[in-house]
Amino acid sequence: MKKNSLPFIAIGFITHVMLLSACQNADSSNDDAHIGREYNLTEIKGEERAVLTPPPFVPPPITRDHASKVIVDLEIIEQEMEIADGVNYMFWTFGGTVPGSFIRIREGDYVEFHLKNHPDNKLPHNIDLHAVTGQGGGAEATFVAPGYEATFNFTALNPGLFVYHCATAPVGMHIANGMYGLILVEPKEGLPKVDKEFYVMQGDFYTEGSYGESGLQAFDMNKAIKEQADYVVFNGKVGALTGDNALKARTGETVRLFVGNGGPNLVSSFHVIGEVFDNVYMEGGSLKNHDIQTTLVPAGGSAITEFKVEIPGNFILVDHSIFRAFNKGALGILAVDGEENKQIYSGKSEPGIYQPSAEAVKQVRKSTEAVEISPEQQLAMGEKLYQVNCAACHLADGKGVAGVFPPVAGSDFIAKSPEKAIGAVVNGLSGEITVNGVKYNSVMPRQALTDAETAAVLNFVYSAMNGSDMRVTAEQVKKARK
Amino acid sequence: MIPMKKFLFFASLAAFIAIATACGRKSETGNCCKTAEAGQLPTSEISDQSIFLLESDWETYRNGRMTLADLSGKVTVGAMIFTHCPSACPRIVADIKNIESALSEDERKQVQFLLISMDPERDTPERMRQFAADHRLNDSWEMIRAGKDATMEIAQVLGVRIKPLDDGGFDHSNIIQILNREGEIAYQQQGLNVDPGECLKQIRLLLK
Amino acid sequence: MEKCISCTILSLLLMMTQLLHIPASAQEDQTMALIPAGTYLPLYSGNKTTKVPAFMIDRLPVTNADFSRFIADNPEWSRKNVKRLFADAGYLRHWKDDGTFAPGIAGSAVVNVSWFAARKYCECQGKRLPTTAEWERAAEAGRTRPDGRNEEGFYALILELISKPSFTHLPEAGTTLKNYYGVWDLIGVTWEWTWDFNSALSTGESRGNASLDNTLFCGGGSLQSGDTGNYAAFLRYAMRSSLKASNTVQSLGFRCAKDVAR
Repeated sequence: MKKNSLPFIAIGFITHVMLLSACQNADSSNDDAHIGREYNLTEIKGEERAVLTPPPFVPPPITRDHASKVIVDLEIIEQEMEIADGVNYMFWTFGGTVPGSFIRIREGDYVEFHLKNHPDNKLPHNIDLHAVTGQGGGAEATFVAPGYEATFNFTALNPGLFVYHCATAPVGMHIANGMYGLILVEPKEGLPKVDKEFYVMQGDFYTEGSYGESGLQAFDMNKAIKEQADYVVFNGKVGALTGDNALKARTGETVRLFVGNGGPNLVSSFHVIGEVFDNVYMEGGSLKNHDIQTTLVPAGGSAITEFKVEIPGNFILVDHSIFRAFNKGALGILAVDGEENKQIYSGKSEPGIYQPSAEAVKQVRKSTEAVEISPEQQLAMGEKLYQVNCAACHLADGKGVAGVFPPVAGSDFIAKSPEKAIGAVVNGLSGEITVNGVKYNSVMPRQALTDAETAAVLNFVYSAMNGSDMRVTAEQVKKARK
Repeated sequence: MIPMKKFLFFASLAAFIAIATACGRKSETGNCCKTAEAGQLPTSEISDQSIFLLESDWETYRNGRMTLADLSGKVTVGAMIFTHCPSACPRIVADIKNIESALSEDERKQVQFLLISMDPERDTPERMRQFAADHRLNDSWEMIRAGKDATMEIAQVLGVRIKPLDDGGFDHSNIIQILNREGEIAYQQQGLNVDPGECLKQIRLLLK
Repeated sequence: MEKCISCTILSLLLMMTQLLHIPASAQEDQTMALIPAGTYLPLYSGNKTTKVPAFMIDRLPVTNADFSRFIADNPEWSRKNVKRLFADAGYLRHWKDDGTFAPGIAGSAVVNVSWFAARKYCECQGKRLPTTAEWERAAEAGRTRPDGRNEEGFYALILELISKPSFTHLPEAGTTLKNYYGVWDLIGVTWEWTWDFNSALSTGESRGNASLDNTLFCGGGSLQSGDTGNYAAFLRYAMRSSLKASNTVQSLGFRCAKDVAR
């Protein structure tokens, strides 16, 4: 059972007693022996320096079969970094990243912990490691002014995945500025071997400007107190785990996510879209639950999730308190490539035709039609519309997907007949067609674009993708509508 | 204690007081607060970390006066306390007496005990004398007080945190200080009612 | 040593000339501001206010130029001569080895000075370090009112200033924020030493009351606080409590205070 790390001995004692009784009620009798068990402090052999890694990386598993003295050097750095593209925030960090460096030790290890407060920093800090049995989790022992270093020692009694954080007053502000991370105390027997391990930690942020407002954004105390987060993100930044930063794995591999939640306020409903966790070490402890869809990660708590990726594709990590994912940034991607397994997941089957009447689909957007625009503006508008409406199937470069989505770049179909091109956009297209000598038999739905927008997007296609002088007017489009 | 050294101390002290008075006035042409410290005192003999560097002047419970450098030559076991202190300070004194009684006759000759008041306003020499009598402090013990500022200064040097309370008392760190013969802090024992073993070990290291 | 004697004579002469003049009333001092007697609510006092008698405080923090004049008069406080007991190895580390500094920073607040050095400096000006109560009372003032708590947006402003990255080059003293009393730069430029900087809490209590211990950490921080919304004050208290008197910090300077002449 996890020991307490509350600052007051009296409260701590009561909590402890409560935890003990909760434990007894909740689980079988063999846990009785777990309570207050003798910590078998084995002999400390050897000395090593802990490897620290920035998120999403995790230090290599510990292969030792004995406890060692482990030296941890952690540096506190206050620095401005991006919290979203174009939005900066003054982060206070352990090791220069949010969340802070991942620390990996073994149950029974004797840790010599050095906390270094960089001289350029403005504030004193400390560290409370939830893995520490002792007053304040090390907070008081490590309270240190800028330009100084504090040292303390502890023995890691309980295995598990633990949060560490700064606990200097006002503690909420220190955490809200990014001062948290994870320390893994591997059980003596080690964790089962997996192919990939990643470090993901959620945090909520409170800025003076609202979500996405650019420039340097200051911490907003009032929003923090009201718990109205502007950002809820994984690994300290909107997009820290998407695009090129996505976590990567191959089909057939086993994946372990070390998930933490720094808070300061919000509890995470951690979920990976399209996956079921085979194992969850609940709350980062030793109780293993199976076949879990969403696991609760408390602020100042953790969970370890394990699963095998069977199917290629993008698996989206979210806080399933879902507005946080869609509006505040709590979104990451596990990109899996490799072989399909149609038995487990077929992918999209041949779609049937479903086309409600034009009136139901048509969106009235007169504003863009009324305005006269130059050819350059029209091209620029066309490019944007293409990326939004067409690129998903015909791809950003217009080359299409062989056999499924025909090319619109260098396309004889388009070059031969602007009428057909217009018709495809405004009325949709189904049935067999031949493009550049290749037969296609799929369905293109009608696009909800205005006449001017249709003209713009087609002119972009003609000009930029086909090197053609052909131009389509809004008038032509209007005539082509059925 | 070498008499010459003592003489120099008092000479420098007198000079210091004279200048300090002068410094009490603000001048527009830059201020000089130069004390005898760098020039006349044989500071080169005093270690960089020695509390003997403090220039403060102290009143003793025997109505005498002293400077901290007068402690030179013996190992000092001391603590900051105040006589109105209801519980913690008597415990510290008891802890130090435990240390004293554990020392051999020969060792005791080389060790002195020092109580520094953190409450100079109320700890008059009379009051300190009463405290010494109540606690049966022998001649190896000294109890001293100085002004408020000098008290703050030595508290900072010794790492003792003092928080004044409304009732005139203090919240304070409980630390037994062990100074070597040169006035450097050799060991600090934090807390109350602790086993004297570690202090004794440290004292004996210094006596070697 | 000769210098010392001449200095002493000079000081005595000045003292005499001052005695001949009728001393200007302290309140009219151009370099110091008068903070009238009042009360102040210490952060860790529950809701008990403290009376603060009237006092004078420097309008500007002590600058590099000011401090180098002090060292010229008191060479034992130079980087080379200072005793480790009084200042650790970082003392004046932003200065060059020979005790000079980049001309651009002459008018900026001096930093990397220990409490002992700051205290000595003030003593030599015939002043002293302000107490924490005095300092906080002076800093309580807003831009237009003696009590910044009543001033719209003032808390947010000071929190924003404090949250900003450290200055690579400190601005000239007297160019940032001027408060109601005409005291500059109390907030947002550097931290400042106070006379009793680390007496806000103590470790190991005389009363065996362990709950008083950890007021600066975690939940304990707000347990006894009179004003849990004053985050800037929390940050200052935390900063002060993290210090030892021999410490020297890149963002820590000081200014002096004195009693009001009666």
